[in-house]
Amino acid sequence: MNQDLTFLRISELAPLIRNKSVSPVDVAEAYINRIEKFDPTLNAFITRLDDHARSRAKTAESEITSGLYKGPLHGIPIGLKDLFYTKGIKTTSGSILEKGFIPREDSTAVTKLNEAGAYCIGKLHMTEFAFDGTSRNHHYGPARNPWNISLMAGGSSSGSGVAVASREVPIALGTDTGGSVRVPASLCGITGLKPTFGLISRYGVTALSWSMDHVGILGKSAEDTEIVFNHIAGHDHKDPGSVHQPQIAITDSSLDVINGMRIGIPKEFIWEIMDSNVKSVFQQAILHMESLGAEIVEISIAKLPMVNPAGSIVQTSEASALHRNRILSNADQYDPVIRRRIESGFFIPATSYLQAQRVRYACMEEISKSMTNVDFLATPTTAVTAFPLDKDTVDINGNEVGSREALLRITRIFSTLGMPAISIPCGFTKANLPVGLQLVGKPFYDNALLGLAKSYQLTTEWHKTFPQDLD
Amino acid sequence: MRENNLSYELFLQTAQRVGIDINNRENLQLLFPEVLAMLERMLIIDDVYTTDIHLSSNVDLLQDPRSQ
Repeated sequence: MNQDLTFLRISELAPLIRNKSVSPVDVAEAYINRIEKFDPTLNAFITRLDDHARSRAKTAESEITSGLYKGPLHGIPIGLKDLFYTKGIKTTSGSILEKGFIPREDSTAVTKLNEAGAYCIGKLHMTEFAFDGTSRNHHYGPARNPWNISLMAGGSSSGSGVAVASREVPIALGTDTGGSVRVPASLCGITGLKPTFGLISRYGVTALSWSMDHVGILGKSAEDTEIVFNHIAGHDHKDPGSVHQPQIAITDSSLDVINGMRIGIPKEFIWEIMDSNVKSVFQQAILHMESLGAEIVEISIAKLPMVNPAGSIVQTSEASALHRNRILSNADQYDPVIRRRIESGFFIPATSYLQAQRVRYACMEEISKSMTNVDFLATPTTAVTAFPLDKDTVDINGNEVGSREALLRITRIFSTLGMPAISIPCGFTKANLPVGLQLVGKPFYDNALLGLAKSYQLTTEWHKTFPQDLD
Repeated sequence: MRENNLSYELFLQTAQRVGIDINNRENLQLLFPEVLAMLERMLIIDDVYTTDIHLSSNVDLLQDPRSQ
């Protein structure tokens, strides 16, 4: 087969592996070749696992040849953000403090992927302890955006975004506490799913904020993220945040999913800081959905501006509690920026933390009421496209905006509220940088949300557009 | 809304009390605006009406829409 296997989505590759037209060993080699060629520049990997991948691919090939096909992930390499525990494999969490940490067991998500026949091809770049939305890392250097290597890729699942967009891996796991799956997905032009809080176990995943951390999936399409989601979702008694709630199943991916759907666009907050190029691409995407039969409705959510302050207080308080002892004894081993972010949490009184948790509930109550007459929400994923790696601020329509605010202000809302959200590519600016469309569902309507995203991708080509190779 | 009136002196006293290294002046000078920003966020949410909200755990933050 002469086709470059790294262009194929899992939904295309899996049937070829199943019918033995494609060997899992060839798949592994194709991706290892790209990592070898491009990762010295892109820096998506903290730890490469070439030999491990080759060995697992051979095992998969033997199993499939023997008639033991396990399903669509059998023989598929996966990249893991370097905070998923992997038995016997270094797991740094993007920190120098954890550079020697070798877990004794796999995280639940990794266990489930292994059982499905997938394997880890490498541990991916991330910002230190997942506490930043850029793709910078004080210890391991920056991950670079494959659309323009002088630009940031977004974070904190930066390596996951870069590796999928540059076809170094077909799919990757990340985590999302304020937007860390959807932001790199948006800036790198790929699909990023953050499911409803509690649907994917965080057992064996380094915590940042226990009441806001989500495991998410970054892939070449909504369908690919759904394949992985269906394998790793489910209750896990080892994760106190894991939920029993069944998902509402609408798994159709036809245009009928969009036709008749009511999609709400929030009036408040989102548009106060928004690059005009991003807004223009977003509006084209909305017009497209309207042309497919969706009804677009402006909705008012008065408490929307309260969500992010509450989320920031909760996240920082919990991160500070988790890191307190280590930062007091080893402060110099933290990135100075991350150190200060954690130390700022020492100034938050318990009453403010608890008020912030209650504000989350109050906002969730209001947003539930606001969504009574709509099925989904739509926003741009980020207020800007990728910007230079060394910039702490970005110019948005003539105003200087802090990089965290520019990157996270929209995604953080739905992490704080635990709602399912997906970022899908919806076009490019004149500078040829991808723009993400964020679709948000009601809690536990993850499959319905995936159905909507898949249906959008049936009639668009944005998710099939990859950056040109560096050579 | 209350005013944010944290002075640098009070900030230093609090930093020392919570165990932050107060000999690292560069870190403290950069930390101070971060703390002020965090105080601003606290002030923003202080007045949100939450009297009727009783916390148990975050696990029940989300309700199955079919049961509402």
